[in-house]
Amino acid sequence: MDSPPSPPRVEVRNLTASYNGTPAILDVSLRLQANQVHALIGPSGCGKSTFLRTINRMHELTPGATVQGSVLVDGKDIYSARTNPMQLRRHVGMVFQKPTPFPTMSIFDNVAAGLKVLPRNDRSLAEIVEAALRDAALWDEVKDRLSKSALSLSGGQQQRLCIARTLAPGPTVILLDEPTSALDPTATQRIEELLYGLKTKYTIVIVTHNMQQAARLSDTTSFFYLGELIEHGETKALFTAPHEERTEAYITGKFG
Amino acid sequence: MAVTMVIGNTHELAASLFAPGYTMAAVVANEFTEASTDIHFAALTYVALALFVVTLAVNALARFLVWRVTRRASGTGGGR
Amino acid sequence: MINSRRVRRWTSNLMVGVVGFTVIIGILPLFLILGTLLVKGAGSLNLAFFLETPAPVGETGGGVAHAIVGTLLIVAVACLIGLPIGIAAGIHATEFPGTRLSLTTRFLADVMNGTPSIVVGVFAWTWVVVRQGHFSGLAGSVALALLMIPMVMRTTEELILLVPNALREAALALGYPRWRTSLTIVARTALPGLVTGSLLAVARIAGETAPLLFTALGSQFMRTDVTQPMSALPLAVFAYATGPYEEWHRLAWAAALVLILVVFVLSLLTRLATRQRFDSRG
Repeated sequence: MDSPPSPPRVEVRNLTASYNGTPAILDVSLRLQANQVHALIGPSGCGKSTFLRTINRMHELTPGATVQGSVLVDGKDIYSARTNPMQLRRHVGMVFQKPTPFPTMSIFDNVAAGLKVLPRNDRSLAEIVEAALRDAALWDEVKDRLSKSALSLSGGQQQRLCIARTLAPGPTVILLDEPTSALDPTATQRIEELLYGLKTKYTIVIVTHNMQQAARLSDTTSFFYLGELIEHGETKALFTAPHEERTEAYITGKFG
Repeated sequence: MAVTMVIGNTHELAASLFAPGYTMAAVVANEFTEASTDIHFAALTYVALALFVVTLAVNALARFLVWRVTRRASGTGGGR
Repeated sequence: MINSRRVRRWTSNLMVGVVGFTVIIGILPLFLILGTLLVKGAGSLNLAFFLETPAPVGETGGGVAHAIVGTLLIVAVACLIGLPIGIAAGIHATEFPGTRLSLTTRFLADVMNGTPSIVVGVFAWTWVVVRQGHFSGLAGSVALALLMIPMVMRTTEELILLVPNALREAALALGYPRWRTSLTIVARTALPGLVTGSLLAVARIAGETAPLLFTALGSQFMRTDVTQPMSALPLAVFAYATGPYEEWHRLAWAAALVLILVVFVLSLLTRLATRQRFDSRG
């Protein structure tokens, strides 16, 4: 099925990200197409989380963190002086490993939290919150208790709440850093189904240490090792016939 | 203040620990409102300054000692 | 072998006994103080004591209403000054560490912390009383606020540090600017603890005498104007205790008991506030 090449949603060119001068990722170049799920795999400490955090400029929030090279989202260099990092983060949302609902807020307020810093448009807050909760497959479970504390939810529900919170401001890219590693298998499955359905509307980049999850979920997979991008390709191809020896070694469990 | 009420407020250097005496804080507490001459005021303010400097010096010394101990600990035993 | 076990058990019990004994010795003064206050002061506590101002010298009766009102007013104004500054400084120093401002405030707070309360009183005297031309409750509040700020700043810092970093990251990832993250997310999460820390600081300054000696000065009459000299419980205790009349000494015991009760109630409120927090979290 040949379609004309469309510009990638996220394009990374010769990216090196360091902490206090020591590079965590080295000279990485990558193109991520829109409306697909892209998995980043690799052993612990290989730099995949660091890479993820360069895409929404969270990496530079760590003291001593520096970035070289360029990252383009929708063709625009996000590290240019003209880019406002906070605005960027409303277009590129992030969900973390541990569910982090804001403990002092209700479910409704949690989802609406990202909207408080946006100039409000014509849609009402309640509508946006409901849409986000539906997209996160959480609406039916919480629609009767939106004013209850967010902490009254289970771990899996809290993570879906965090996803809804990330969806509410209307991003184009969603970054997820091992979103299910703190959850039980049932909750994990629900979130995987959710993410698979979300790709029609969003571009999803997910870091995972669970290769089966990457194989189930993603359209493309990138294998990182020791800060370098070893291989990137269509998921099925990468898992059945990897080009690189190290990729094969990781996939077959020889290390990591 | 507790000391002020029991120390006896005597402007004398006594040899014994059991004799009445004075402390810097007690002097200021007792005499500040009664001071009438400029020099009395100045003297009392000077006592307050001396008290301040003493406590500052002791605090600084204490923090320096703590700093030295933690530095040694993190230099040799601690660290990643 | 059995002998050594018996010896060890015996030594262990001995040590437990020694430690228990030292604990008792440590707590004993507290109970002695409370006991003495209760014995000497409780008899004088009646409704009149709380509601009336002092009787003329030589007469019996009268109360410390003026001192209670004075303490409430002076402490309230001190809170208005000291709490916002202390909490703001604490939040800033923790959320933006390493900046020149935060390092300076930390240093200043440490110096203020070590300053004797009488020196703070002299400072307030120089800058408020002399400027105003007369003593005032406000000067006392300023002195107490200066004592309060480092306390509140320290507890605030500890509490803000307890807020998990994951929450900050979640807010930043939503596009929150850092100041907003600090105020709306971090500070709100730490709020119960901040309240506790504030109550503790209030309890401590409520009992301070030295800074009030030449700022609020004290008074025999009910005063509600903070720009004028006024009484406060610690001042009343000091004045009555060092006075020449037996009647005054009796009042001093009772006023001291009232002061301890005020501090006690505040500390109790603090405990209740903390406990409720854990219950409501479910």
